[in-house]
Amino acid sequence: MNNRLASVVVISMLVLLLALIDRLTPYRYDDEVNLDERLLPPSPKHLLGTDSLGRDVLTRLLHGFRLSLALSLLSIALSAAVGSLIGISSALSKPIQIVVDPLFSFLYVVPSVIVAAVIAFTVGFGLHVVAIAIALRLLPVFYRIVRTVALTVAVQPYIEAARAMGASLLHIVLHYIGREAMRTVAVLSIYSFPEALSMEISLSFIGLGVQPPTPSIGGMLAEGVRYVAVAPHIILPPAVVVFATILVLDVVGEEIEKYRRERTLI
Amino acid sequence: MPFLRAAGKKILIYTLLFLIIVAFLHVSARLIPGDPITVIYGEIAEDAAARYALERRLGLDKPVYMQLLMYIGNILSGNWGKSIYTGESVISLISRGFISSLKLALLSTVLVLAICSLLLYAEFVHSLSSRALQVATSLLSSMPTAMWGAVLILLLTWFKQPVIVGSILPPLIVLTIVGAGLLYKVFRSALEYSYQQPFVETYVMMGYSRRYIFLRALGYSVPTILSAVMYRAGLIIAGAIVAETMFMYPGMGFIFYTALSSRDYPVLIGWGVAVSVTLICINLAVDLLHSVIDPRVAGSEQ
Repeated sequence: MNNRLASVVVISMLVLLLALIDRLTPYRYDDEVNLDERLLPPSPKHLLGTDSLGRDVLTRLLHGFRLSLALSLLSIALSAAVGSLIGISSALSKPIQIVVDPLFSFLYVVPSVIVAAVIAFTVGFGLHVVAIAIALRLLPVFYRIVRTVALTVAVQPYIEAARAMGASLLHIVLHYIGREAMRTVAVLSIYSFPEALSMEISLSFIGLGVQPPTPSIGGMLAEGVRYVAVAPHIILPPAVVVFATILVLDVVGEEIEKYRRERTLI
Repeated sequence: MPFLRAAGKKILIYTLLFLIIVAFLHVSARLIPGDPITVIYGEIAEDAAARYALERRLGLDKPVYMQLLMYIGNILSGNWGKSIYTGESVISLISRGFISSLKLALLSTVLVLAICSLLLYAEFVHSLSSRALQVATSLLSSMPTAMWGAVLILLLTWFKQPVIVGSILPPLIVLTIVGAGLLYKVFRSALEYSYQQPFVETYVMMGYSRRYIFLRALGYSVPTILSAVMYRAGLIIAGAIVAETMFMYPGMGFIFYTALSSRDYPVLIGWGVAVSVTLICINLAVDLLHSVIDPRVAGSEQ
């Protein structure tokens, strides 16, 4: 119960903090270049110091963190939605399965960096590259699990009963298969969060993700590596934020799983 | 000859897959904004006659399937083009990076295997608390590589150790930390499955030592572990981009990073080809090794 309360408190504080960034800090995050104040160590004026262009590290960190979280959430939602849709249709129709199965097995083994590079060079660099690359990485996982769930549900006696009572295919998909699949998808989404966040950070770190001057955790880590000898204060904050976030996500994921199990027992 | 036939079939499938990937890379290289002549030769090719000459030289006046065949022929004969920036031939650049990455992958794999076996030995034979180990390793693996790299760099700066450019040690440490966390999970579940097998019960009843049983159970889970380990090694050879870039280790990942930041298309495409060959070969090797080690796998495919 303690962990559960803590999870709720931490998450609501986080949401509040990220919603109020613009009120909390007097600095802008992208175009406020001030070369006289570059690489300054932490001080009362800049609580976490300044970066190589004299921008406030704390402001950039908060904005980058918000963007990283939003991108992870967006791509998980995207791949959960598309994956469930394709997963259910593939469970119900053999031809779809024959087309989709090998495609997703292939997608599963291709390193996401290659996927991201192909998207970036054909469509152009930007936020969409990260979102699509992460979504494509998670898609096969969602697809497979939803498909398995749909296959197990489809042969249950109550489906047969529903069909005998004249329920349409749409009704069965929405009310029985869909509902069961949603439960699994919810848990899987939370477990995918650390992976999505890690991928966002890696892609932005190597320059395939969020493009400067927009701040991102990965981009700040990359800059921190470049200036670590003269300004170690740039690399520390993003590293700490990542560590803490994934720690919290681990605990929250476990709590949600426990909560779900208690609910289903009743 | 059932094994040879199965192997031949797999090699055929993977060769086909390779050709599809090369075709895909070729087509996506064409989708890059700007035509290849301008991309490769820049503004020199403004003159229409020069353009035409260049197009003929590159074979761009031929139909697409001919171009694709020529491209595949070039790749097979080792003619991968030249880097736009350094002028070095792509194949020598890539092979140098490949050897560095291979070294990194082999060392890291050996270290990860050793660490995981020791941890599991402590856990299963000497009843070390598994809960603590599980929490620690899941933390190790769920943190992104970039974060561990940042921590290592901070530690090095703290102790006034210079980061030696091209040194294998820092990326090795980072990759081993993350790899040990990831593979420990796989190792553990494979080993737990082995411990549920009836033969373990028989050994227990026959009074064999815990160490002997551990080794036997480990042997039973080798096929499962092997494919996970080899797949990860393949990914490292293909390019541990973040770890190599952070410490400027001159492997495949660093090549990709530098080519990406300078938009060096011939190198990028060469990298894509090399990486797909590597991953396909690793997958093939895993499949074949698996059927050699575990006869049941080979048998099930008849």
